[in-house]
Amino acid sequence: MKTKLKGVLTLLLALVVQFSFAQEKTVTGTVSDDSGPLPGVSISVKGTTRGTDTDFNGKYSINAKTGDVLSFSYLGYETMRKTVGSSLVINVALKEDASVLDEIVVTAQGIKKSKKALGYSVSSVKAADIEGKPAVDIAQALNGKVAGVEILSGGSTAGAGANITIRGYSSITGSNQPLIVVDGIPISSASNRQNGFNSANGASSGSRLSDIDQNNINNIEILKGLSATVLYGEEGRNGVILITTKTGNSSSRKNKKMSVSVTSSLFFSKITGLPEWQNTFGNGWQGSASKAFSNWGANFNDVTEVPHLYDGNSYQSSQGGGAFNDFFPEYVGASYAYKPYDNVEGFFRTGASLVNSVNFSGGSDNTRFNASYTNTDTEGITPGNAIVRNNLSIGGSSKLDNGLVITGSINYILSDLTTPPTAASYGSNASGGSSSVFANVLYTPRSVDLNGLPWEDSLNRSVFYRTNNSIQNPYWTINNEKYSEDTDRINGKLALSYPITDKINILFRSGFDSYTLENTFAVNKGGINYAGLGRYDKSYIRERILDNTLIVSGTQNLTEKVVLDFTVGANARKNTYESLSAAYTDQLIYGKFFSNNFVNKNAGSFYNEQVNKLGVFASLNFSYDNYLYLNLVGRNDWASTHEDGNNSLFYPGASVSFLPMKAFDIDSNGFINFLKLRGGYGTSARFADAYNTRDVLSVNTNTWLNAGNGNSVVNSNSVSNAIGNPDLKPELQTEIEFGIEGKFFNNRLTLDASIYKRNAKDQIIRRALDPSTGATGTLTNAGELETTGLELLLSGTILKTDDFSWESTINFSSYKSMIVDLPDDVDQIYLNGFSNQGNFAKEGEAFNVLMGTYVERDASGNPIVLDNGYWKVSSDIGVIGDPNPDFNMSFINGFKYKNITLGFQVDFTKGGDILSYSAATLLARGLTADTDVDRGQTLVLPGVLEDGSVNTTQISLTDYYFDNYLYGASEALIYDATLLRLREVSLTFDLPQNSLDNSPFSKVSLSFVGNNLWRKAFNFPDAHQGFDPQVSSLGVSNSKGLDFMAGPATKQYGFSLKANF
Amino acid sequence: MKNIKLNIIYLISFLFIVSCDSTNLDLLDDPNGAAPSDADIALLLNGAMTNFISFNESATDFGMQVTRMTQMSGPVYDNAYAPTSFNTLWSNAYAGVLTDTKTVIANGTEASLFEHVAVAKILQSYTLTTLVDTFGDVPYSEAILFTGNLNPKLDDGAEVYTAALELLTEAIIDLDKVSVKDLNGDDDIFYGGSTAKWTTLAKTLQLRIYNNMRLSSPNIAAINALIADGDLILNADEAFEIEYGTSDNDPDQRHFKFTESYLGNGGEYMATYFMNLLKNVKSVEDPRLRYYIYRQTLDYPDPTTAEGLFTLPCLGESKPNHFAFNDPFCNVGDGYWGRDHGDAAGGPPDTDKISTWGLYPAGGQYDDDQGTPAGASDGAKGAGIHPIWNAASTKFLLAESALLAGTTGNALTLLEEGIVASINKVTSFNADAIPTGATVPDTGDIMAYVDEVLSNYTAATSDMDKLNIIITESFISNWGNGVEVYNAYRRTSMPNNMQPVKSATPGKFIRSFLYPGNLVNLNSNVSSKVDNDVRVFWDLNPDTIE
Repeated sequence: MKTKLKGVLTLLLALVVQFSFAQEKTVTGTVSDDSGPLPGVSISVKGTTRGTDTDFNGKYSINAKTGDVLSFSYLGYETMRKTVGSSLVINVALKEDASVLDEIVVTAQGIKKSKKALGYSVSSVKAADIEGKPAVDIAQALNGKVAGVEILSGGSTAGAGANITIRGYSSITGSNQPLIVVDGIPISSASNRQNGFNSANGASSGSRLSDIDQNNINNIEILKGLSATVLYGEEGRNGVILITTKTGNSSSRKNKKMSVSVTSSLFFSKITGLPEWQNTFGNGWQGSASKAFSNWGANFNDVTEVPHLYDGNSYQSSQGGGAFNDFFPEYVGASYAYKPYDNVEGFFRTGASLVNSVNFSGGSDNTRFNASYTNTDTEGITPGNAIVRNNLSIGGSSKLDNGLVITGSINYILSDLTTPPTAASYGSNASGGSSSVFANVLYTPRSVDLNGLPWEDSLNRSVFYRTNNSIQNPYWTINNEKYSEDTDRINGKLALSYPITDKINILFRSGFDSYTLENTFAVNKGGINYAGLGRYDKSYIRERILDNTLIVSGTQNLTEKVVLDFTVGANARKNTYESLSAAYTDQLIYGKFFSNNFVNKNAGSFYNEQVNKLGVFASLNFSYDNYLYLNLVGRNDWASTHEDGNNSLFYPGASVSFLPMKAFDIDSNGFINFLKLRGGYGTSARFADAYNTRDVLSVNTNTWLNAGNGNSVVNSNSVSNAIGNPDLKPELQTEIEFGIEGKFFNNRLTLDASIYKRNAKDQIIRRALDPSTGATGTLTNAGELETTGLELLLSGTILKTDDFSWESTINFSSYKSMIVDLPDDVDQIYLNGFSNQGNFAKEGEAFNVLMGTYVERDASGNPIVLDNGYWKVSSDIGVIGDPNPDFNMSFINGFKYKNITLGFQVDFTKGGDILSYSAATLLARGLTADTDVDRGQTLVLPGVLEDGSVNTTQISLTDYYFDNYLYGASEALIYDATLLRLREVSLTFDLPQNSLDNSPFSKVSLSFVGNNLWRKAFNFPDAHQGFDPQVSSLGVSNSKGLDFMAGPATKQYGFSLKANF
Repeated sequence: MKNIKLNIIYLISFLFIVSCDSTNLDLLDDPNGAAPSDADIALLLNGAMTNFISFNESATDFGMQVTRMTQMSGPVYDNAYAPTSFNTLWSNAYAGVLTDTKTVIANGTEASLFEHVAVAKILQSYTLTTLVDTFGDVPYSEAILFTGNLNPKLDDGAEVYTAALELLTEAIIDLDKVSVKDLNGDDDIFYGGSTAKWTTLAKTLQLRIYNNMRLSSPNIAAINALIADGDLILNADEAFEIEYGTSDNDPDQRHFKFTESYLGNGGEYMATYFMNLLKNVKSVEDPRLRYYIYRQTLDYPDPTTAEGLFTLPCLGESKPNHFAFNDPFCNVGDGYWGRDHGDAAGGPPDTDKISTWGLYPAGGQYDDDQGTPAGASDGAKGAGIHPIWNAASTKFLLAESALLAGTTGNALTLLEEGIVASINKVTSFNADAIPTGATVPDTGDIMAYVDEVLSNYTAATSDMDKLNIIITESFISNWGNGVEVYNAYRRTSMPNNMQPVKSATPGKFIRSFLYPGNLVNLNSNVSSKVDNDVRVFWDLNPDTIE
């Protein structure tokens, strides 16, 4: 089709006959490029102020005289000049400008710019890199694709939210998640988990970012530095991910032809490599077989049979008490084979993900319409984990005859995530009486056949192998405990754009994002946790963002060589958040979840919050002779979360881009095709969250019942534990960045490198206080975080023949976020995890440094051993690790032979510590191959006694592992997380065009994709390679390097079929 | 054309302006809460009282554990308690009781609500002395100034004690003043609004302070004056205690030891020493034993089986060499299943087997040889009490003081009255919750016990032996209250037959606990103690105790 069009155009051009007329006449024509008509091309008559643009169909009409020179210019294309001759029709084919970085990128507030003019770094990801991939949300799909963007998965359940940081950290206690802008409208990417990470389902909670349909994405731009994000205001301080959807993409050029594309993919997921088990010893303690938590039992050669694991056990009193023997008479006196079972692997299943997507686009002369629907149905590897999502998007635009362009889009999303509980665990059940399917499965003793034992009795009560039934059977958990997040979301926009003059445009854009999220946690009675009573918790959350922007933009030639582009605008944003929750306990009828089936109905609570933010902004862009660009930006924001006088902040930015090759007219014969030097200075703000400037009174009803007075209800007031800070000011962050971009060897090699330094002073810090001050915390302005970093993108075409090409990309990024200042009277600030084991901010240390207890050492560094033969654990906490990697690198390759493309991506992370309970627990409980040693031996811990003499006390191997790895110093749990990962392998076949000629299809391609197929954590013990150190047990948060048994890693593989017609 | 253009620009601008209903920046008051100016003094006092409950609950365990009432895991004193173990106690005291009471005192005095002020002063006084008793020097003069001082310095424990004594003196005066409004009897969870009983408490707490300072600044005259005044807690209905109920929801008002031990989680280990003291040390069983301790099983597991030995490993161990002949170890008989002092072994499946809290004071089950796992619907269903001070406490205190300082009263008589008051309190506690037909100690059993103690006392040849008997009886009567037993042990080194720590080299006894993590980590004016041997100002007891 294209070829045909091209032919017609060439023909038309050839038929142009020049005539000479002095009178003004109307010249018309079509401007096109290789792929068709080009709308929006500027046409001007040299030496006059007359000008026009091409319409959607690439057509234009302009008044000109014979001999006038028409100039056709379009960003990224070589400007073409045509002299008006006798013909009334001038058709032009523009060529892409190969001598510049010819990319047009979307920058802040949707302003499109030629990349060469930018004084800061912008990275782009194309649709092809993310669609039809096995990741459930776009964050996962972006992993490793962009230098400087770091993504941590929240856990191994499908649908768990991911943690994204761009260029390290800029806020000590505030959010470091980037702003997500879809089709010009900022949307919520909140996590909204209703439980702490250490209870119920913390890490597996979803993120609203997951709602975005990755098959409807046209492209993604990532604005990393502050000079790039100033116009987005304070929300953009952590970087901005600009997503243009297919339905919201108003500049699509292929508008007239109707096109439909269908994508179907099917992926399977599997657990990736389990720990390397030992199969010599079984369940027990100190060398003898017993129903212990641990696997320090007898040798399978010595003991082959034990009494049946259920014989003689008793129920917990919260389950109603009683003996197993009454319910399982078949096991009374029975024996049980004491041998290793395939228990853990058998528990997990093969997950499957089926995604079907259809995309429709079409239009007429001045209108364009797009619609997209995607259905995603994913089952995770853990039984009970699934996510079902439906995305429907409709968008379009219309240009009225008077020039007004109306653009609108609307997205409707229904998303249902269910997961079994995955509370944090320190290797012995889960924290705080919650349940964790991972913890209780992973350390199942080798001789307990998890998959072959009954998991419930005739009264639906959980039964398992401990004599007092103190572990909830994981099968009972997945069948009786369910957490779900049901999201009903709608967002969209309406934009009106109008050219006031040829050079000045006015734009109004109104966007909204509104969702209701229903969280449910339903637990049947009969379990071990939650006092065996069952529970039913529900909460409804409604968040609404209304964002309105008015922008006037234009362009003005100041002199022959100096052109000014300007943008001034105003923005108002309203964010409201409401929640309503109730918690019921004590189920009456097993298996039923409705409110009257619960005895204790705890009164629900309502919460509501509103934050308003206003901003005005301006951007001035001067370009000099197409080789020097200066951009000045500034924005002033006002926020409703600070007291009057402190609620406004102005923050400016400036950036320069310089093209030396062009400036000095250097011709290097294709050795250097393009070179750009850039530098930028940017600032941004952070305003506090709502309601932190004023003291509140703590009010409680039903605080107590006066037993001495007929249980009369006592209500109370109490002085709040948080101090309101009326003097709280917004944070100001500043950043400078320098970069170089270039194309070399006939555009075969592309380089894009940046260095930056960002300082965030007077941070808004939630400072914990010594309670003897009267309060436990307050927000203050204090401290400084400094991040320095380097990003490097190197991509090139290594080989290229007619049939074969090999393209390769290396992304490299490295940053250091340091706490350079904290208030003098603050030793450290606890950030995430636990206050005696977690991430901290400590002056002079890297941000998020891991602190915990350590083994005390004497003056010469020898560990101190106590009289009982164990190391002396410190009573205070110290720095035990730095979770920040030295650098991240990915190596992406694409090989194309005719219509076959093979791609793979390898990621490497150097350094970064992780505190891993997954590894430590398996060691401490004697499950992995590294404990397959002569267990009869005793061990003397190296070190000295407190009196200085050398330790000689012998301890058993059981005690050594158990008391040092699970119940000793936190220091013992630290591992270096250096990791090499084969992130992705894909093989794509494009059906040859000639085979499609007689079919309705214009393009058909089939891809096979595998994700996370192999990895190696070099500094983890061999037996623990099943564990993926790139997890965060805390889900979406600032936390890093904490694994409280986050669950096994998964790999995905499958295929995807895409057809256009 | 011009008109259309203007119209469109108007339209766009108009749309922007009308769509911005969000320009209001005055959204600073939290719609989900009230302002401090909305506070009601009576409700604030309720807040102080309920915070006082939490404070007592968080302060009691440490003393019970180091005095072998309940079990200390250890294995040595050095690593028995991480500083973070005390965070809750510290926060409940300062950010809870002391902050609320300070506000009540300041605002209530202005509003002439002297009864409220007096109660606040008494609660504050008791909280301060308990903080000193637990940690030694603590912040006071610079405390609770909020942003006025984010790093309060430590004050000398003796000065804080003086301030606590003064608060009681002021409270007694305030209780005599005419208040604009009386205490609300419905809300006064301690004394139902009786100012007379609050006065009695204030005077008794003064007596307690004088006795605690017996070694550092003896004041016989003051004690005698209080005795002569006669307004002390000497009757059962004057007891200062927290009363719990059976409500399991909104609020869960069951005794905190009941919720720990009766909901299927097993709870803490009872100490071998304490169970042995009640059961085996005298020729008759303590009449309170079956009220105090409930056995979930009547038999120990069979140590000849692997599973049995795994469940109670110490059955297979021999008594450590450093234990004396009379020191109990592991097995005290009849299924009283606890743990030895400083036994830090991991947790076998014994939660449904270990001996646990009984009817008194936790509101659990009376032990009538049921031998079944404790459950939520057992016994008094959590309607227990937390004893802070009662008639027996006063009697034992007066006996100690009479014997050593020669204050008014006969030590022997006071001892007897103390034991009887204690046994009466325990045996009459929640009688409805005792299973029908259960065997309970009769008067004869009680008399036999009292007689044995008194004859031992008479037979004792030295004052120290006599004191040991008084302190031991006081110790037994204080079951559930770790503050008093810990103070007594440091003051007198008694009871003098404590079980040694399981480790032969346990390090120094905890003479005061390490400062809480949230104090040393967040307050730049305070650093960690050098070790456990830092003594509270009144602890001039020369003995080395273990």
